[in-house]
Amino acid sequence: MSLFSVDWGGYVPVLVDGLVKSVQLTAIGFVGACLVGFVVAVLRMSQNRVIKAAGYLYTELFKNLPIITGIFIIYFGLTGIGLVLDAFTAGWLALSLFYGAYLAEIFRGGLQGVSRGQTEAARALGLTSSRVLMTVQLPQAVRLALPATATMLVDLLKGTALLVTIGGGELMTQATIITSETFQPLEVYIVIGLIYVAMSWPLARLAGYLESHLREGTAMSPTNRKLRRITRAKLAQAATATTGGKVGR
Amino acid sequence: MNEPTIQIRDLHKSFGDLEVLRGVDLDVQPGEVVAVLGRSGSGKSTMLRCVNLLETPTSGTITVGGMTAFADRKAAKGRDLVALRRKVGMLFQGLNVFPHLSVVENVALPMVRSLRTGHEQAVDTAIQLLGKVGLQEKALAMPGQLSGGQLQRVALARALAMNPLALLFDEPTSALDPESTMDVLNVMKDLSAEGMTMIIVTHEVKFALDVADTILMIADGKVIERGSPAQIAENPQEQLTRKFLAEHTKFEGSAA
Repeated sequence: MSLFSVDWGGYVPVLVDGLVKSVQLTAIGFVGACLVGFVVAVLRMSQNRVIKAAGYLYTELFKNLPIITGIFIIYFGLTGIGLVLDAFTAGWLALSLFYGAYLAEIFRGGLQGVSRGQTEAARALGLTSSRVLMTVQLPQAVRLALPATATMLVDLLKGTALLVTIGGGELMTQATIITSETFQPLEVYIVIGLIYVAMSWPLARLAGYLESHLREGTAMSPTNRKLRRITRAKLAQAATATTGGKVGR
Repeated sequence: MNEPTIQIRDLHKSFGDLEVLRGVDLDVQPGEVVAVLGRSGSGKSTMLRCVNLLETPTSGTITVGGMTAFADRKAAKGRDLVALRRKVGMLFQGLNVFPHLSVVENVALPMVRSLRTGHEQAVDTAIQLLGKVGLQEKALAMPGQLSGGQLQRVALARALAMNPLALLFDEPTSALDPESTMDVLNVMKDLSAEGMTMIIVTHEVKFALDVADTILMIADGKVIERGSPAQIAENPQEQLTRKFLAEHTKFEGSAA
């Protein structure tokens, strides 16, 4: 007797299709969420009260609205005003808008976590405000925000399963189709569940790996790497000039 | 007489209703070391922070190297502000070395980003300056691996890398243990011997009397006394100065 009662071999193309859609939705949705998150975080830190309030309203609205409601508004609701989106587009759009609100809070925490002394020292060195942001604030904020951001990425990957409600074509949608054909919900959903675990677990591990490396002080930009390389070469050169020089002559 | 490197006239600064500076005048000549003494909250740090416009004065004038930093209630902005800040280096009480950058990057990167120095030359200068503060072998270390005194010396090398006209010190050793304090003060003493123009806000009275050309005593936002270290130490005119000096030398004597 076979371990499986579902003919999984025949469903491979369907599963691959769902898997690809899930990965695409995750990737596009996350990039969109990062952009939205960054913009809203900057709005929320603005000195201007109106701009600040706009950012606040955005995060509060999306933090308190169920994602599924948002998905339905975008996919079904917007047709009422003549805006018809396909399920895939509505899917990544909804994920970007919602996760953008969560990421905005995380990014803001990261940026505000960089101490005032750091930015003051950078300004005192005569760096322009954009240089202060790029050289001092952002690199430190990224390190602070990385763990929570990675958690959100994994959460977003799992969140793509919600798009089953609008037939997003992703893995969970395929699972319902396979179930309706095989009448084996237990087996199908366990297998699909394991596929989600197999995707999200390595993603979380990768984030952990990145985090520990950045903490140890890996140079993030090419300029930083170049400065370290030149330094290493010059120090080695100086060392041979003082010790090896005598041997040479 | 030379034009002063830093000139402060009738400087006022209020935070809301709190008047922190009430008409401070100061000329710092090229190569002069001015030590500013006073109790916490006397306004001495605020005065220092006004020089490079980390605080915006309420009124008065400030010129640095012939350039107007603040006049007619207007502060330098944009390019002028950046140019001003490049003229004066500053060290803080907090050890504000950038933790995500290695020691050499801390010193070289501001040169690359702000002065557009070439990478090779920036590293050359950085290594040379790190040698000067006794930390050449730490060039590739991360700030997390250094002690407080070492961090403050990195910050000093970083400030020197911008080739400033003058250096401002805002209680640079207040967060350090005695040994680290000595290391930092020794480097500062070397700098003064080389003719660096400096304003030093400090609680290290002995050091101030030893290194400074001029001592400035500030209380309640005003300069209450100024003079050479000898004048201040041997014949302070003000009751407050006498009291301050007595308090700050009381324990140092028994410790030494």
